[in-house]
Amino acid sequence: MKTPPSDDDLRRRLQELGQRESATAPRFDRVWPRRREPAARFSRLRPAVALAGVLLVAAAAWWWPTGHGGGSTGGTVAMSSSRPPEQWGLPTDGLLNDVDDAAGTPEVERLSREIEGLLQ
Amino acid sequence: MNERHDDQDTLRASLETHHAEGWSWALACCRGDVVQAEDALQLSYHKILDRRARFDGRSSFKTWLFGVIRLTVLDQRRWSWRRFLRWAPLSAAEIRPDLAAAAPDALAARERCDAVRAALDGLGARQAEVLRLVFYHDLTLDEAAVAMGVSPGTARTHYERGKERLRRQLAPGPSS
Repeated sequence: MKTPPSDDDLRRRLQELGQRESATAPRFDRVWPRRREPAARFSRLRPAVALAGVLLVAAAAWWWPTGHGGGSTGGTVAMSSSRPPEQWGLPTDGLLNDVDDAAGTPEVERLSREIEGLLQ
Repeated sequence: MNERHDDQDTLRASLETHHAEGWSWALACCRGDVVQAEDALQLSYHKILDRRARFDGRSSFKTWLFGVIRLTVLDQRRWSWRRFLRWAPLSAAEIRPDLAAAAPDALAARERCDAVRAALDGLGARQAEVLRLVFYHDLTLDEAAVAMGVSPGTARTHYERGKERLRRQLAPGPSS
């Protein structure tokens, strides 16, 4: 059996390994941190700003449906349309057309006068 | 040692001088993980630049730098969310630098290095660290103890035991 390595042998072999590992070091400029810019300082506030934003959205979502008075509006639904009623396209089964056809005929005028007379 | 490292240019120059050795030490502390070693080195430089780690001249600059790197690696291990969240295991190329590519000399030299590294991996972490610090980085045992954050007596114990184990592991077999 050969003699085990001496301290000098160990030193030499570890130095060889160390030198080869050191040769794989990334460039210093790549690892050296860049100088901090003013914008980077502001970035420390980002978590606080984000939290404030989330709280604001949550508060708005909680507040919005109830309004200032609180509670629901009782189911009344207000609707609006930019189109005139003639163009709403509601299902009328043609009744509106009948009224249009009948408007201005002598029969209708006679009946109207009779009704007014009765009412008086 | 009375080196002054107050201004950034001097600090940078000193770090640049020890960069390659710092890298080797970071690599040893990270058990050969290149990605982690690079992160550790960069974080260490950050600490030094931000004055979170200050050189007070109680030891050599190199010893102090090695201590900063070692503590940074320990911090990284504690808060290693990135590693925890990493789905894919590291590739072999990431874990071990391609030494042959860095210094494409004889295959025999590469094999010798592989054998030494394998032998060091077989030791306890502290034993491998103290051997690297003393044999490669030329620190005294007291300096190595400072860099490792242990007492000189503990460093000496690790050194003696590690050396014996390394000697046995690197001893040529009866057939050779």
